[in-house]
Amino acid sequence: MRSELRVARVILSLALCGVAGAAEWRTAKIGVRVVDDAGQPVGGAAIGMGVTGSGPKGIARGFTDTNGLFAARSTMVGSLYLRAEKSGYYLTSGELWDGPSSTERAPPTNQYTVVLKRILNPVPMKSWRVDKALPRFDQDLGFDLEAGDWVVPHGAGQVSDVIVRASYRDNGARDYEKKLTLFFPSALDGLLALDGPDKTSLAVASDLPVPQIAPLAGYTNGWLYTRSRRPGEPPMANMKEPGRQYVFRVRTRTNETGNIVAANYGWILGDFDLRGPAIDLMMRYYFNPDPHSRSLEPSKF
Amino acid sequence: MLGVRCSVFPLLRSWILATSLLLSASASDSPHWWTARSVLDTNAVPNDYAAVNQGQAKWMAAQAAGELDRLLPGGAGQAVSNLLAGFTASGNDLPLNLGQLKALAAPFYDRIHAEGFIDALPEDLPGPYPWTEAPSDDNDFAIANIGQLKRVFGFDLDMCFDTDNDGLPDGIELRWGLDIANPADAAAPSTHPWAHGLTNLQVFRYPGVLVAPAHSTAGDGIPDRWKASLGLDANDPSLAAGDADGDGYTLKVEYDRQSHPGIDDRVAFLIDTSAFSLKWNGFDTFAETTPRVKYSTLVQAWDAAITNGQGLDHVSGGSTVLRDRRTGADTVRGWGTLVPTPGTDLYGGGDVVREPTLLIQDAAVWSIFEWGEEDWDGDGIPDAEGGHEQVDLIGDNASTQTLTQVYTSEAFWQNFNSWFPALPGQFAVTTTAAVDVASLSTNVNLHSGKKVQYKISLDSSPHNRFVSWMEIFTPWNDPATPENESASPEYTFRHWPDETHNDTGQEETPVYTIDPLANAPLRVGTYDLRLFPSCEVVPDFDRNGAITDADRLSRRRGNPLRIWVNDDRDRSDDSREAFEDAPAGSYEPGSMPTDVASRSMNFMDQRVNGLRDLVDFFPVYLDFPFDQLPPGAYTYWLKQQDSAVKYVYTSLKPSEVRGVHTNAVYGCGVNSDTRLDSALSYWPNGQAPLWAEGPSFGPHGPLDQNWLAASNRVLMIEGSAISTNPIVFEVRRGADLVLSCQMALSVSSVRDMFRYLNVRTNDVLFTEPDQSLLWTPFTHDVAKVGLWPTSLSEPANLPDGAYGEPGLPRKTLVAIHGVNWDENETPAGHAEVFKRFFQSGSNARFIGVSWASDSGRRMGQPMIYYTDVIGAFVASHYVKEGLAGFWGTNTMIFAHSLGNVLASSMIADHGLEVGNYFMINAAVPIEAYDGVPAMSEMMKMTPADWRVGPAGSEVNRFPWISMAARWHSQFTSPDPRRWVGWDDRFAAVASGIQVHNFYSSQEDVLKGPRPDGALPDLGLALGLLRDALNGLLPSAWHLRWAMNSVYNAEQTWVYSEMTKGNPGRLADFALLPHVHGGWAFRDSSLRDTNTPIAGPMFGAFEARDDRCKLWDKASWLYAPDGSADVQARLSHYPLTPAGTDTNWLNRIKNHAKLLAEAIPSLSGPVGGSPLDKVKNVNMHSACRDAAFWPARDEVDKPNRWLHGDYKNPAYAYVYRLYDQCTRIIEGASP
Repeated sequence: MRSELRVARVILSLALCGVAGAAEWRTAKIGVRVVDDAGQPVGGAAIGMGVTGSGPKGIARGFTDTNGLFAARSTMVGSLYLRAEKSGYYLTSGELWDGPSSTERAPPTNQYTVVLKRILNPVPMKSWRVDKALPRFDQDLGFDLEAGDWVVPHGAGQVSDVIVRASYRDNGARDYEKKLTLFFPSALDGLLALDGPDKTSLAVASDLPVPQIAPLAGYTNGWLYTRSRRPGEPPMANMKEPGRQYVFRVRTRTNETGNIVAANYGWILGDFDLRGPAIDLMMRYYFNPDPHSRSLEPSKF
Repeated sequence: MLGVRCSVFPLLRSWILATSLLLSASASDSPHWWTARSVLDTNAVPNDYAAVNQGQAKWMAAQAAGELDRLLPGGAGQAVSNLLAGFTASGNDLPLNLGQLKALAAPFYDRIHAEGFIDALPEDLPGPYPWTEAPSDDNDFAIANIGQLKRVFGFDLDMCFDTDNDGLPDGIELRWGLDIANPADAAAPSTHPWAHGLTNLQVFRYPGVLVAPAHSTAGDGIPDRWKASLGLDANDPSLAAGDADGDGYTLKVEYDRQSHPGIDDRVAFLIDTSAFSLKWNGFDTFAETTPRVKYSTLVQAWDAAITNGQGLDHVSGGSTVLRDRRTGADTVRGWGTLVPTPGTDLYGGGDVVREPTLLIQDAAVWSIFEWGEEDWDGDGIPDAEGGHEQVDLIGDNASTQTLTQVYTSEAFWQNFNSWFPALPGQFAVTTTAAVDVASLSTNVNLHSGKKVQYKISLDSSPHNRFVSWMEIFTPWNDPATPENESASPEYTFRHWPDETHNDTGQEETPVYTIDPLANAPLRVGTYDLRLFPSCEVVPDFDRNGAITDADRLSRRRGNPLRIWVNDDRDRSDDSREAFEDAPAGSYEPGSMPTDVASRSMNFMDQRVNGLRDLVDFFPVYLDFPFDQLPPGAYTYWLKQQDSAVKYVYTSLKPSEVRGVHTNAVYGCGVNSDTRLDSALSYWPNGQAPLWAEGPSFGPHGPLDQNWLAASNRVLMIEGSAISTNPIVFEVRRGADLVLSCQMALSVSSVRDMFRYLNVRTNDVLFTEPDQSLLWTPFTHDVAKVGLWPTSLSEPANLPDGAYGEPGLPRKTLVAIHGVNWDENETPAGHAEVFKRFFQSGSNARFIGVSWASDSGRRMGQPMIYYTDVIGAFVASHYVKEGLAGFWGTNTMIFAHSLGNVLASSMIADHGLEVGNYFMINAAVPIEAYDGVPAMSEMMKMTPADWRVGPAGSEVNRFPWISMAARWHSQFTSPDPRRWVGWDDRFAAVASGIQVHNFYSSQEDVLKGPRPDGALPDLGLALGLLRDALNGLLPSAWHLRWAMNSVYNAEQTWVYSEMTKGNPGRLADFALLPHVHGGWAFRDSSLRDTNTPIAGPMFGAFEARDDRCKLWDKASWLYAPDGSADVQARLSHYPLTPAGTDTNWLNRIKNHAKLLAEAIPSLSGPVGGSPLDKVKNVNMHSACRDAAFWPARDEVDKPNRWLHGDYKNPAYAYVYRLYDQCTRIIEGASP
């Protein structure tokens, strides 16, 4: 049985601005400028913008002009979502503004710049979603990034691309210490950390969160991740949460003069998370099996 | 070095703690001498990382020396004795370093090596010692820990002895508590719970069986347990590809189809010519797959054969009638006796030779006994000797497996070939008229992996009841047209041996005739005989996404395919309308929105109704070689007596039907040009109307020929009526039935396939309205049971033993829904979740729990879900009680949203024990499980007035204790006020059970707090709701829309927490968090015995009351006066009823009321965030990576896993969630 309504009067319209009450939403005109990763404006990009919860009237769709500009107006009753796409570029989408609050009625800025990354050279890449328990603690374990598995005898991998070592002191739910060390057998191998939005969070991000071509320098050979807790304290960890990507370089081969002649590149989505009942190696990554290619663009995501 | 005099030892020994579970795999228990010599204390908590001291090391060494003395010839030796003699009493508390440890252990190893007792040493030694030889990696000055000491002294000399010679080393026997002098215990059943009847010896040889029920050491997918139970070597990886019985099925295949690897499963068994009797257990539903028997005319006393599983006519010496007392039906089981005359030439003389050959379809269900042995029902009256005996079918599940004589197929085929000696491989047709073919070719084209059955069709003569009908041939080496050798066949011939008796019982020489088709005259030439596999209709019983031999086996056993009627109203790929999933009869008329009610039930219209409808469809494979038969000559029919199914054409292969539930499927429909989710669905026999009377047989509505010829013959079927009659597949030539087969079927309402617990009306008292929060005269609706009351008996259409591996413990899955579901929506929601788990292959018993989570809505306060939080705490007691008998480590909980408060309270407060707990988008504060978070996190949930400092590093402005959320921390147990707080409220949940937190980093309702800590503005949703509840919206539909928009808004949970304690009314809601963060809670209706509390519980405040700065005046709850009132009204902790306190339930309610309405959370919700110490799964990643996700508009939160997405998008989008839970339930992955 539904509750009875006292129908005192019929509402004239349910348009957004007609709703009674203390809430006053601002109408804002939002401008978007789309550029590519080289900084050039992108014309003819298909834009979709919407204010969450505002119904069909809150959707704006169109194309950027030759200067890469697009603008639309809406009442800001919810968060602001944007999607930008064009053939030849990776889709970029996400939340431009997280909605009205007690301190903010409209987005703080009216002009947003959105980057579309060009599709340069997609190559077949091996993609792995790894979630493997550590077979041993306090022992160096090799992990084969191409095979996505531990090196024999703990798995089916053949080449130790990265050495993993973990230690776990577990005194209970509120008292523990986890350490995960990654290091790479060759001095030129390593991880390069990039901080920037990816699709795990709501922020605007490109489908390709890393550069199209792996950089040549900046790889660090050893990494330590910790997560610990003492009774009465919140957990402490040195991970960066969503918003970090790594580019990796492994199996580097150099010539006599020390120049790199071959290496396998790839990228890891997200940081290493040591949450959980034990220590697991959890990675979502792409591996380029061609040692003469620095492309980080998977032909199939 | 160490130095202690031996006499000091007893005073200085220290206990070494028990083995931790970290280090080793299954069978490396501690050496027995550790416990026997008091080196190990199994009662202590393991701590292998603790430093070991010299005293412990000396004690260990001394005991080790004792072991050497006991068991080595010559004892521990001089070096060890010298070492021990050098021990002194000093320095026992000093730590031991690695160099000292090595020096201590080396003489022991030397001694063991010297005597050659290598078996005593730990596995995987890098060299003679348990450390590396190379000094480069040494760290001899590092402190040794207990684990290292145990590792080094982990040798076990008992492993070198086997006193009773039973194959189990003494070391193992001692560890397992067996008797080293008793050889019989090796063959005794192991007491390990996972050993499943294996013997101790098998468990020792194959330690993989202790790792997990499905563990496979060889990594070949075959569990060690299965191999061990058959006496095979589980550690041998080469076995999987082997074929011990030579039947063409590798061991892996034999495992998959659960047949015996030592028994030949192939077609034929040639019975010896010595006297025997045979018996088989033909099932009623066997139809075409019933074995045929051929026998020689020269054999005496043989009579009947079986045709199509129907009754035997002959009784003389040939049959046993089994009467099923339940139904009165008789089935005749055949048996026969073959006693060939000695010396008779069974192969001679132009006769068509019929050997006493039994073609066995399924070796597991057939028995062959020696003559005179059989007494089928074991009642002492022999079955043989010419009589027949009434045998009760009840309990007579004869499925014996012992074959006393088995001949390989090769032998069979050799003999088969020799039956038709005239034309090996071929036969000739020399005239174009009807031809009597006395002997036929034997080039057998045996379809690999299939059982072959063949039947001869005989010439039509007046006294012969078989119809002669002919097939057309495939030419082979036709001399007239040599260029046609590889051309498409013009003719094919099909030939089945069958009965060779006529109506009068006389045996008769069969004459095989080939009649030419009118439009395809027979040609002179040489032809090939082909044998075709039988016809079968096979579903995917185990729902693993492929139709395999295991499914065939299940069908042949007569197991029905159990499905439900597709009586809900799916329409699209993605829907938030709960009533679309409502089964017929589960909701009050009028409660279903008219736009949904105006649609027909899904089975009634002519199409698949979108991707969401596909969860109601099941694949069925018509296994028949349509492509080897001429088009147009035959028609194929699918029939079901009660019009209880409809079918859809697809082009799916039987090995890939999983695609239906994981992606969009194309190429469906009659012309293979439609997507599955919009393809047409047909009634069998054509477009029979829904209300047809009686069975609809008839020559209309055959299966489409083009589809049969071009596709792979998987149909998707949906249930359309309740029925237990089979699906029948027929092949007809004209009006004549050529061949048919059946598949047992059972269609019911989905309600008859799972259990349901309904506690909605168990306790309505707490839902009385809180007067201070009402503002308009809404009537208060009492909770209702709805049309699905509790039903916990075994579901009629899904008995508990129907699926799943027998012998393993039965699993149970309890589903608990979230907030704001009324009694009419809950059956719909649970039915949909049950269906998804069923399609994911889960064999767990499913129980849907219906609890009153809509009390807020009934009170007209859907925005304030606090009443429902109270409801969750109260209901947790009733749910735990209501499902008594179902709990335990084989039971899992699947709880969504607010249902997690209910589930967590059952575990933490009521001591519930479960195996796994799946939290799905849990609407519970993070701190309930993880404890108080970091300050920066807490500030995001704190009202602005309580914060000071620069943005990003704000701190609390007032003393901690002045926050409502921290009020509890000033008390200590057992004061019940200690538990009126969310901090650690459910801390007990993570220990002892496997918890999986399925969350989404892009949740909407449970979106985490804003980084700047501002109160989210629910904007449109709130405005609409305000108007609705003030009576400003014109209709009930608008009210529903308004409430939906509230629950579809973002950050609703954070909003509710941050506005707790607001003394105002919804109509007055300012967009500000309440400055007192819970303190202004005001209530006059806490339950108590006789005297309800009068007046407000907390002080009444105006907004922004500056008095709250002075915390000791913040509320008279602090003061001694008044607090006694609260304490007396609260529950003890845990919230279990105790003693003679008859008001314990009121105490629980009071406790819950304070928690729900007055105590804000200082952390975000679990559903949008990972937890610290449980297994977290970010479901948002699943939808991001899948690239197959519903298309939602820019205003509808696209490309995110939202709060209700476990159920709103079609199953194919979200199957990974159910897959993962099912795998965990079945134990495949921890």
